[in-house]
Amino acid sequence: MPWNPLSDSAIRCLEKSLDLQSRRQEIIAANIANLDTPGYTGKEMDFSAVLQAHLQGRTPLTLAVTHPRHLTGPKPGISPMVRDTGKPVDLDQEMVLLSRNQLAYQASVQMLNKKLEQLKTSMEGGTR
Amino acid sequence: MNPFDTFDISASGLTAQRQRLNVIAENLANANTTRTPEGGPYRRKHVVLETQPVDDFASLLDSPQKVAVSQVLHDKQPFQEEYDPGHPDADENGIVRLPNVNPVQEMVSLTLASRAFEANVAAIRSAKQMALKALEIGR
Repeated sequence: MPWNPLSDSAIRCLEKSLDLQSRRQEIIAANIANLDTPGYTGKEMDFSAVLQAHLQGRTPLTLAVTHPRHLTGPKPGISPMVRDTGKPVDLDQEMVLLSRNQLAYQASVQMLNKKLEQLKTSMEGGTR
Repeated sequence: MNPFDTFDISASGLTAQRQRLNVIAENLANANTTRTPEGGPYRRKHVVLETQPVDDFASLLDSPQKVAVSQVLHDKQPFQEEYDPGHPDADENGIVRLPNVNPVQEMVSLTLASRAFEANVAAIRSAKQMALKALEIGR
């Protein structure tokens, strides 16, 4: 297979990271919104486990379909990895997760930018 | 995936907490009300929150959920009774029935509700920063 600079494995990995990090943001936001909901238990996603599963090409569990328009159940690839902690939401912990997730997201964007910059430099033949 | 789902979720949290603040304010304002349209003193109100799926059907199968006020219920605790024979609403034994509102308890709920509100604001702010950062990709 010829090397395609735009589907480089680093870029694909970063792309998936961004996707998962914004999903995690959603989960954390839902936990915070439901802070006072009776009977609500916190949800969490093991980011590294999900990303590893994706990179190893393991397909997550989805519902069998007999027609292309059938729903396959939870959004593929992520939801089976969302765990119910079974405990009520701890606000402090969620706030820490929130800022950690945000920083990780920014780091991923920065790395993606650097990667694209490298490609640009090589395209321009290093003349600049 | 819609990047604005996070905003929707946090916004639902803001709405729910604001409604809770409204009810707490009502309880505090009526802490001494002895007459209501239903008759008798004011009865303390409770807000009950529930989870709500993010709009579309496919997301029913998905885990992140919004929050909404499901009901505003009356507190079942008995009214406070105070001996004050001069009060216009006192019964034949001189007992006045006052609302079952405990201002201290209300102040604590008030603080909790405003903290929860702030937490949702923080979640929105962080989601916004992430979205802005994403706009910088390839710049």
